[in-house]
Amino acid sequence: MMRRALVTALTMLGLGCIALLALLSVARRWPWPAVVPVGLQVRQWREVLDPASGVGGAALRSSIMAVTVAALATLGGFVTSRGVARHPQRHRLLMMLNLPFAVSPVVLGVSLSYFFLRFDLAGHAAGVVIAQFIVAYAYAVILLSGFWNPEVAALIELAVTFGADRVQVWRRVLLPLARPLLVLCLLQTFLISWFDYALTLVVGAGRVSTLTTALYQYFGSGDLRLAATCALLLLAPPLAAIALHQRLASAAVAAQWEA
Amino acid sequence: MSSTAEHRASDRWAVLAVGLVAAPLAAGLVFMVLYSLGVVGMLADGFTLLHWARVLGDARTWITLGFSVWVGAASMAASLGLALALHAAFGAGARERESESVGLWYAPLAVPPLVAALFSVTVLGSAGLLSRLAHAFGWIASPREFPSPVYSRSGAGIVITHVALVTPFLVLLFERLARNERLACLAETARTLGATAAQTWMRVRLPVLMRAATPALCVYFLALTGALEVPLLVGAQYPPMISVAIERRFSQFDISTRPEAYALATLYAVLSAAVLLSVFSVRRKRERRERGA
Amino acid sequence: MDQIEPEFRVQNIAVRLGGDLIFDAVSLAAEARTTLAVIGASGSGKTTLLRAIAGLVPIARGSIHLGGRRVDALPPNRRNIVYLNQEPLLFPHLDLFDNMAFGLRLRKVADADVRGRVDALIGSLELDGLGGRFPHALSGGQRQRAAFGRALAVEPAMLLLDEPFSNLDPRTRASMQLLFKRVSRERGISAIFVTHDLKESLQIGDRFAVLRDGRLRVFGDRAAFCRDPSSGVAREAQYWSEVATPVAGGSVRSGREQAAGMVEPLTHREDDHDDE
Repeated sequence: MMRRALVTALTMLGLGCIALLALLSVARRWPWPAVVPVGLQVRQWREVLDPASGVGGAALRSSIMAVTVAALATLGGFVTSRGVARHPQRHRLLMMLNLPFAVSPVVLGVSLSYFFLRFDLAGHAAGVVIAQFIVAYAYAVILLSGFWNPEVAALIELAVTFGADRVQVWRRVLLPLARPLLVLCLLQTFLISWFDYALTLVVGAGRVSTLTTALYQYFGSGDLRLAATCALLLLAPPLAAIALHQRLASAAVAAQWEA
Repeated sequence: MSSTAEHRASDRWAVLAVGLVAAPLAAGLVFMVLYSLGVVGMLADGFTLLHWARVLGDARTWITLGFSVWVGAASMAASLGLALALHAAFGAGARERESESVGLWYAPLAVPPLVAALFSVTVLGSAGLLSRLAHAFGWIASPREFPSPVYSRSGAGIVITHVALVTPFLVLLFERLARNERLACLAETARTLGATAAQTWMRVRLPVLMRAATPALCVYFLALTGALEVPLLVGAQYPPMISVAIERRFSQFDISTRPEAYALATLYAVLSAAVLLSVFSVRRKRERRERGA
Repeated sequence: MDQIEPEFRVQNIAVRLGGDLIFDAVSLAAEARTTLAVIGASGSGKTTLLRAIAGLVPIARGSIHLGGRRVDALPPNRRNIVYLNQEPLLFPHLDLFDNMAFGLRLRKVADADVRGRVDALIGSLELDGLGGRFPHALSGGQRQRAAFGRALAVEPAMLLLDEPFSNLDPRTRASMQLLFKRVSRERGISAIFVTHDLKESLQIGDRFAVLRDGRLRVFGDRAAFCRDPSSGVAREAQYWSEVATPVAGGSVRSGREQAAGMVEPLTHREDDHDDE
């Protein structure tokens, strides 16, 4: 069947790309025109994982920044998206919230650079987190405003007639209902920060080193083997999260159709 | 729950939400305008249109903008075509359930632009995997003979990388929109009314999908036009795409080019915001017309 | 009595969906310009039967003839059989007029002719003045009439209706039943109308059938249908006669009265309810 063949071909292509990166990350030498590396070594991995090389530290910094951005954006987005979803000017508000995606992140970073300098945040991870938060938060509000539909409003009213107070409404109705969407939102906002290079470059002014800036530096210095090793580190958490999330998403979809 | 106090509280949240995003954007824009006009900044010596004149009078500004729009449009057109073809091959048949192959499209979402660019260089570069295979087959004798799209001044390498990045997103988008709009049922209705498979696509599937997808497609187009990472790794030195050009002028050691960097950034910010706002408001007007008529 | 060659004949069709046999050996015949009302509970396979006749689900066995021509091998667009969904699925990108003109435009009918025919339908379906409205600005009943008109516009040889009025409020539903009856008479429509509502089937059908557990039973006439226990008419009649006639024994009686009392206000509320 053509469909099956296409799925297989695309899966092979994806796996092939990962395999290529993996091979590159353990290659001793890989001169043109060799199709496979000449000799293997773990030196790249040792260097990247060595605390002194800075990549380990960069990976740790990346994770802390991404977790912070994801948590703040999702929490803030969930609380405030309700107001946006119920607002009479909802469409106009959502249009404004799309602006950070329309203007390039470089433009966003450049436009804010003065304020970051002013508040002594330029070149600090905190400044980069704030810049990433603006984008991630806008995304979270857009995504989560879809949650507040009339059905949810009816369920809230139902819970209140059963005697639920404000806290119970949140704990027993809203959070369980929104759980799949919140997980999706956490993952996506995590990735906005984890993948970010432009804001880190501009706001971090070259002094905040993350996994993406490390990858770019290795690439710029011409060492594709070390760049590939960084790339694998960069891919691992989102691949794991998406494998997990996909199961969640398909469960959510299945539940929707069973209902 | 529907008391006035509750509503006022919810309005306050809306103001906060938009304020958190719009206030920094507006402040940033005002600052860039003032800086580019020589009103603020380290080099400010009074109001001047000199920096703007320099940017607007420089042919490179327009080449950069034109090149960015070309790369954005070409990437978008190619991904759109590919995504529609994949949607037709995978998702369009599924009537009510999410089609079983959807999982496949989640995996590429784990790939950041930097890594996609690295893939392009290692596979499509002049010393990349394909070039090595071409040599193994005896088609080329040196890496220079390999027609690599990477670092091509046409932007081909950037376009290919963007297509690989964006297509899975579009396939997922179409899958979701098709489900929301009950496209499979609409297509069946069209079939029993006498539409051929081709007519069903042209008169029902495509118009319904495109109508629903326009705002998302517009945001993707703008994101690709203003992309930094892929052009930085895969693009030629000249012409640079807009974000690369702004970043270069901004990060130069010689800060005398700063006002120009701000003028260029302002120009692009205003243009891209105008595109987004007009696409959204045209759609909003159409929706209002359709509801109200 | 002279034998009329049936306009529409389904013989021994079987449908398999994802390995499950939905039904096996279903046969039916319908005369031209009549409506066959099929009673079927949910899960009886009625939707699958209609979709199979329309060509939206492949049949594993059997044949379908329409107007002396075998159609089961034809794709849905060449059968001239229109399937109307339970929900009125209008094309969201087209206004009411363009929705109703959809099939005519596919057939490359001249614009003036399209306008004339669609305007006439809009009039007879009591949709005057709504031609420029888009689907989400129409009420449920208006949408259902527009979907019905869209089907009528192409003058189908056979119209399949899958519980088309089940999502409407009772009042709109009653008026839609009358309208369907009138328009299908006027236009000489051949139709199969599936419903789980006994009253609706009696109101709309010229002939009757019951679909249960993948088996279809077609009755010779209305009387045979009403007499047969499987139609449920006898059961219904008995219930109403018991509700109306008091029987001896205090407790039973008060229970019945209560039941009758509960029915009364409900009917009133149904009458008041109107969201058109």
